[in-house]
Amino acid sequence: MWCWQPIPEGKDHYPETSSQSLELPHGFKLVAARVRGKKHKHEGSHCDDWFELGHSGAWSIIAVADGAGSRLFSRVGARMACEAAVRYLTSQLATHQLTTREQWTTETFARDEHYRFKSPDLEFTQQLLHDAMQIAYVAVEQAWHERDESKYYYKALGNRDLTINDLATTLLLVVHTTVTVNTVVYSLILSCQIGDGVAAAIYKNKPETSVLTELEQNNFSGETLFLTTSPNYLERDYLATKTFPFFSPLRALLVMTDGVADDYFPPPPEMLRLWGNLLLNGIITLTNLAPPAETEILARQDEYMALVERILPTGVVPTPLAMIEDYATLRQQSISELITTPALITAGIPAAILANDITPAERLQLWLDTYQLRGSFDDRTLVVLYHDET
Amino acid sequence: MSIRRLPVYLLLDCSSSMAGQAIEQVRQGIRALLDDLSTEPMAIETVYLSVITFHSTAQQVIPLTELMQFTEPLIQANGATSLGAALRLLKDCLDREVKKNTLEQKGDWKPLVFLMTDGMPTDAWEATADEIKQLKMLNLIAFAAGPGAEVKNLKRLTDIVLKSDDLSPGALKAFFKWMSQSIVRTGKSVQVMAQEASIDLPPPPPQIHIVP
Repeated sequence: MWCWQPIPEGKDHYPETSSQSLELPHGFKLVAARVRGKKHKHEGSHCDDWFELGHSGAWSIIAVADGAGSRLFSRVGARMACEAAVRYLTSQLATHQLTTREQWTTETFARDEHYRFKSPDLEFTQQLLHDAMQIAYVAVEQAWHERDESKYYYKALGNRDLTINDLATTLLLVVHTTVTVNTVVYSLILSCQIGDGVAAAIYKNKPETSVLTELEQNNFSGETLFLTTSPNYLERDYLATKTFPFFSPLRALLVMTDGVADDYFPPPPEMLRLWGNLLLNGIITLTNLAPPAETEILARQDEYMALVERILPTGVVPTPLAMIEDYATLRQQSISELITTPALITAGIPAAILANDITPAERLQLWLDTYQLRGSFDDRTLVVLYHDET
Repeated sequence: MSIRRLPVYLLLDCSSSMAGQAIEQVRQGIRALLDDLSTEPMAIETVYLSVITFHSTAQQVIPLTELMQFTEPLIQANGATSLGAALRLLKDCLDREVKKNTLEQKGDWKPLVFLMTDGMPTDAWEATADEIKQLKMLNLIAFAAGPGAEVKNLKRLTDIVLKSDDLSPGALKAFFKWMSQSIVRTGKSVQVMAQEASIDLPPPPPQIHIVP
């Protein structure tokens, strides 16, 4: 029933899918991908998600955005917002150094009643994120002005003028750096968000998740805020309430649009399942794992792997997909237990998946394009920051 | 992981003035609606349908049911036009059947309600209409079918009111066709502004016009 139609010709013709990886200092890596959702493939419309990655000085920068599904040119807003925010943060973070401290405590992260950090270096980082949000808005506004007198957009919108809301997009910004205290490497993360999507950090030392975004409550699915909704949402006082810190040794940072986040909800515990699937499908490779004993390896790969029908222009292609929940059940272990012993997961990567000789970023893109869930047909974007040693 | 549903409620006037050809057109309209939606993969995965009929009383003849499990209700025309009772029942059903986002689960899409009536309400309906309009918990589309339906009353309930000048079989059939197009289109615009004024609806067929 679902079919695949190409994206229409015309202006603002962006690639329907993309993937990227970046090597970072201290053994950290970034891998990211974006795919057009089943809905947009079915009706032959554009992917409205976008992501941008950056690296500057000691910092990694992630932006993900989801253009409003109800707006024809929201992909333009999503792209412009991500590009402008990452460009700004790249220039500002190049020389930004955190204060050297002998100890990092809860007090280091104390905030006042307006959610300003009392530590000047952290507050400076927070303000850069807020500036980046405002600069992203200006970029969307500029993209609108560059187009609003064009007959092309007037006609495309059924004979009405383009408004800034036609470029409506969410925006989620995350910056990451490391701090070494007594030889222990801590990750410092700050996130800021307008609209939906999830950023979540999985602790290195325990199978638990810290959610760095606010979960929407008491509204209906699909209802969210956008960068363009109101100037009030660009005020520092508002943005500060949407800015969340993380400080701990890190296993992985996962940043995604709602197309993935809604499939892994609620984030604790579902982010662990997401991480487990990234390992079991060979997307994340860890370097220092001692291989488990032969007796620990399951031979029944077909019991946790399925050939899923992926819809392509050429028709339906059966694509191997491994499922961590089935793998955990077969092993009679919980997903949490498996995550603390990743060698047991990577030993289970099905041969059919390993046989496909592609890069981690391409694997992520393929996986996002393959997994199926009823009622899940939105564009999907996922960015993963992780250390390649456990 | 629960399924995200698009709840769709049909509120159908089955008063005695609908007897004969009109009620037969409603029955056929529901059949055509099911046929149309069953060819749309997005509707198959997400649409849940419920039917509330009202005459001297109001009753939920089909509770919110997955599209492919939905069986056609038995609809008869008789009695008065208890719009107030229908609206109170609708509110109860929404409270009971529709899920909002919580920290533990993703909610449903915003419910879509189609109200079809051919006459004037015969009970107290105003207070519930005001309450429903104020709550903004649904997208309600009201259809004034024929000269007997009072547009002013429906405007008190929702900003989206459609009207046909006669109660011809053609107009009712066209309304049900338009309804299926609206459901599919709503299901497609997956993400909307939290405070967006109205939903994106297809243009109505020639027999029906949107009341400004």
